[in-house]
Amino acid sequence: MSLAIPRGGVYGILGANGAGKSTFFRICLDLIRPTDGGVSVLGGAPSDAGLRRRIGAMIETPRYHPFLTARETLAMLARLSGVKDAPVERWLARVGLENAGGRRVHHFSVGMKQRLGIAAALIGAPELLILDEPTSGMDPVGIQEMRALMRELAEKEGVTILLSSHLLDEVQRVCDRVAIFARGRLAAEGRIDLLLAGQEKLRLLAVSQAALLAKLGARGTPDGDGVLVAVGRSEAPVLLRELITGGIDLIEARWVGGRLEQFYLEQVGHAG
Amino acid sequence: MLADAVAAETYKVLRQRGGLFWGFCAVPLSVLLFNLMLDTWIGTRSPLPLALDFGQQVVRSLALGGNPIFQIFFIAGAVSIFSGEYRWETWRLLTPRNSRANLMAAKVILYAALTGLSLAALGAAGALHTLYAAALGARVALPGVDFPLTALGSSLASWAELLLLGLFVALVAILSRAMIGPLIAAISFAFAQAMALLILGAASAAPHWFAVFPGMSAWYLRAWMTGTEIAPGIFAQTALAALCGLFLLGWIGFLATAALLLFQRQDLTRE
Repeated sequence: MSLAIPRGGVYGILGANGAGKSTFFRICLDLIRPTDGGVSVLGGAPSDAGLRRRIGAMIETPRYHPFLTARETLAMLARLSGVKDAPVERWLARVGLENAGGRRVHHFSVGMKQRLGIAAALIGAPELLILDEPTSGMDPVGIQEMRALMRELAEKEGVTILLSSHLLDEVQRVCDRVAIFARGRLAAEGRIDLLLAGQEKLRLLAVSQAALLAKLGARGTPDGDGVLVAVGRSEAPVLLRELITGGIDLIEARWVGGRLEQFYLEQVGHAG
Repeated sequence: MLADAVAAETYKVLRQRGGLFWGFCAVPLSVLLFNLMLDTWIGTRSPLPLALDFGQQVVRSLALGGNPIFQIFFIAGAVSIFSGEYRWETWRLLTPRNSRANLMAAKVILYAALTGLSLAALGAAGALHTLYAAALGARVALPGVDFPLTALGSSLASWAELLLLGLFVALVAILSRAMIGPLIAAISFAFAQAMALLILGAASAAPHWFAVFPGMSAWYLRAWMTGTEIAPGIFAQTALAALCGLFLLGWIGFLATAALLLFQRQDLTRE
């Protein structure tokens, strides 16, 4: 496969177990060497240790030195990365571990270790953040917090985030673009809204479904008490104006469908 | 970058109190306590019959780095440093932040520094117990003019031998990705050399090939540097001592290079 990931935003890497997501991340981090082809990260080779300092990563379930506290773990990693005066307390607070900084890591739950892993990935203020299943083992509140953190990092601090997750709903909420791997190949790639554009439909609920269907003609299909219309987002305002000025009393108009899960299953199924 | 790796490794090891104590503090502490207890026991029961030579006591303490029993502790310290990342699967946490060469070099540097400090403490233990014995009434001879050189020579030979053992542990740790393997292999290596030394006996009867064994080389080099008899009336020869020194350096270079090359190419997706 050939893949080019643009700087900025949150980029999702999706695929079934064994599709090659973790392998791809490990090659980017020089944990393993590719048998063929090459990878360029931030304009350089992953084997360049100076370049890797600009990357933060959390691959699979994080592992730590059991005799270090969370605070000491971050301090040690900051020293290793050459970061002077690392904001250890700030990052502990941002991942919700401000009250657990003095506890030894081997007492941590899985969710706490995931949070510490994210803080560890961010301690060097990286330009690129690679996260493999970052919310695995977290409670729903923690998942929401991490999602907000990722969007904040991408939008306000300009960090490029590569994210892999099996929680497709989470990916759809947080990512701008995705690539779908299937059996080591690239099944689909692009902006989520464009990939799903064909699936999305506008569901209209009117006082009179019959009048609405008559006005829409072949464009509308009944869906329970409403009507589904295959129309692009850019054409939707025109359509709505046409219906309203045409005497249709609309109660509700909302977008439905366009689910990443459905698209993903179709792509993986085609690749199989 | 290397400085960062050394700083991080130092920070980590200083918090690994068990490995730090048993690997590098237990030997000088136990030697000191044992000698103090012995001096006290002898001093309280009868006047100390022999005169102690301050220089000899220090040099003998420094030579304890070649004792296989004490080497077990240094081996344990080396295992805690070189095998830890495999044990806790933490290489994936460290390798993205610094080069593999620097990460491994930092461990070697720290092990060498801790070993050096431990040997210095051993020498200090020899000095302290001699002074204590003097305070209890023993006759203590002051060191001769050659003391600094012999002390330095003894400590360098011991340090080289311990460094070699540490690098052996590093190599086996990389190959085995475990803690038990390097521990048992290094202890076996140390004891095998001690047995070889006993079996070969007087070096004057041994051919030059024994210098290939690092433990033998260190022993011979130490004997030459301190002017100690290797057999009754027989002293170490300069030419053979130089050969032993070269072999020691060769062993250290070989083990360090092999460990580094293997680690550079190692697949760390499974640790």
